[in-house]
Amino acid sequence: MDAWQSLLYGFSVSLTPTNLLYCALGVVLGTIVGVLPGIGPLGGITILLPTTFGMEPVSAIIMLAGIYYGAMYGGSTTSILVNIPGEAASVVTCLDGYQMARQGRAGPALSIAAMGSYIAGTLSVLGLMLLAPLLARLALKFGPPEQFSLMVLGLVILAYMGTGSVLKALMMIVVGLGLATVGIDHLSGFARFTHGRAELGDGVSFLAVAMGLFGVAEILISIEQTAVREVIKPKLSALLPTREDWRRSLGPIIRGSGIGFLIGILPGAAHVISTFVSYAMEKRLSGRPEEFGTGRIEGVAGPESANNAATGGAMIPFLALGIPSSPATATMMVALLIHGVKPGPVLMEQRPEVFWGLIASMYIGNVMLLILNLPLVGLFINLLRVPQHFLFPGILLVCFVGVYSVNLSVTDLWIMGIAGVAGYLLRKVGFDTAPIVLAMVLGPMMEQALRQGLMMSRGEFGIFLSRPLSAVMLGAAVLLLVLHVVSSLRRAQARRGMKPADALREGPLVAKGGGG
Amino acid sequence: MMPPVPRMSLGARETIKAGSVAVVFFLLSAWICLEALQVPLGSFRMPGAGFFPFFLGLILSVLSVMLLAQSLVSPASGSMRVWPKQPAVLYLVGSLIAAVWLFERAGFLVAMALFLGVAMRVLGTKSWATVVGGALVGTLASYVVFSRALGIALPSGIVPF
Repeated sequence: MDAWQSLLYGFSVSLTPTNLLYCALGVVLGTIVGVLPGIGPLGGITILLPTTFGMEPVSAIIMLAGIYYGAMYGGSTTSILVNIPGEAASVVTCLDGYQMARQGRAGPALSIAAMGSYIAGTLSVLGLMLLAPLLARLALKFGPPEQFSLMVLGLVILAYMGTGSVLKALMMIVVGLGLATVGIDHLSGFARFTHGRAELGDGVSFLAVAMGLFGVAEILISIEQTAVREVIKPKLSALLPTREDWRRSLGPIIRGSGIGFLIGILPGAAHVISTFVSYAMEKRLSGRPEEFGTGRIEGVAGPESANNAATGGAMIPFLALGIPSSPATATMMVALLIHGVKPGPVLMEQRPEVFWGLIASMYIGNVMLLILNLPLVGLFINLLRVPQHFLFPGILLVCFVGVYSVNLSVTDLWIMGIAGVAGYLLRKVGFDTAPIVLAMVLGPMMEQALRQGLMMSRGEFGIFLSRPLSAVMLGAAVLLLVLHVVSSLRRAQARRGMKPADALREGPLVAKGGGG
Repeated sequence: MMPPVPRMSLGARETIKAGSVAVVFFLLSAWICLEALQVPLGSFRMPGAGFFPFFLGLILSVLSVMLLAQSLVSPASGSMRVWPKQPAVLYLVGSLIAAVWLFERAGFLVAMALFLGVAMRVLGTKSWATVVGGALVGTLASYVVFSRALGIALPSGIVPF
């Protein structure tokens, strides 16, 4: 089957009434998740993951993916109307989107955000459809050394492209890999870190840790943030952008789509970074960069397109290689594994209904989001009026039931609680906990690839460097780390040359780029 | 009079706090290494169960030392406040622990009704009628959805269903 025939087959899967319903449910839930500050796409997917256990695998992944890209749409609504980003990828949209809303142009801002997201989402799905099969064919040639090196590179890029300190991100990755080693070692049968507790024999529940880190901890952090919300009500009669708005937005939408898709493939906070890159590019290309931040529609069109396109890009390593590049796709991978479906190079051949059904559903979901988002913007924005004393206990209750339902184990509830408190404390001391989740998913694969690689070479580490693909990937990982160390040292030297007062004004060394 | 000279560091206390975080991670790394040694490490030719976690512990110890060095060399990024700003955070964590403890002992309905009530109250619901009503409606609605509609086996505890 060629790609187009496969896509038609995918549509035949995703257009069944059941899958259409789950797609619609996913995008609506995603929009709600995006609108609600504090709960991002990762939290949304994690919290709602247990509700998919009774579904067919294809329906489950269609719904979870809907939540993922739906959240990108929803996030723009609060950025434009309330100046509070619903999730991190919509931070940049606040800059010009909210200013447009204050000038009475909330309608065009919302419309362009939705249209840009639709165009970018569709283009990225097209890219995913064409690129994933090629990458899957390449991945079939990977042996354990290549797989190990690819995962090392992925985790280093994740730390490098994260939004905080690289050193702290690396520490979180090691903690996540360590958590993944708890339980019975499948190669030797020895129990590790279990202290005789049978409940830990199968390892630490991924879902319990993820719900703790992104459900419980997010809520604890949100309680401390008391933002004043001034909601600007858009006039639905003035929703449509003018011809001039379109003329100014088309370029940023196309460029944002390309940037988002390419950055999305890379591990890390792709959605967030792609919006910043897109915004910076539009500002640079603009004849009037000084007007950015005062309500330029290009500042909405580019970043909103970029964060949506990144969702399609992020699906590529997860579906084609079986190696997720972001915490959100890692959670989706766990969902598929729970359903007995293993993503990777043979997914297209063994479970074409899952692969092509998902891709086709993303086309449909993007159309649904466009149709739903604009007319229902007033309804979604009302969600912000739900008091947190009702919202937060409700979310925690869903976390409780979700975690318990997997293994019917109170131990998992304790793990969720511990992860929640640990996640809260880690966030307070400046650690981004998202890498833990990705590392927990990659951990078992990484350990197996390392051990198999060493056994293949009779204990020679050289096998990871003697095979060209593996060597290139490990070399790239080392290069990134060296680059980071060099740039940190340069910054430190420059800082030492400053007067004390200048150094204080300049800000901390701990932040991105200088964090270790 | 000479103007006060601005200090590079925002305070020794912040540096100590940042350094303490690194020390906690170093202790964690030491524990990981010791635990990994409880199972066979194997060799490079035939890595055992402890091989991967032992090296993870070593890497974490190196990263912890780097974090410690960074916290000593670089100025603190600002006030690192670990203790919650709102007492509600502590109350919510307390109610969460109580709810987990009660979950199988008292059952889903009792544990969740109590948890929802306490959580709503500590998060700012003023009216007791709203607290009680919200807790009961929320618990029963979630029981119907999860237990009856989705078929999830929730513990009955001290109630007959």
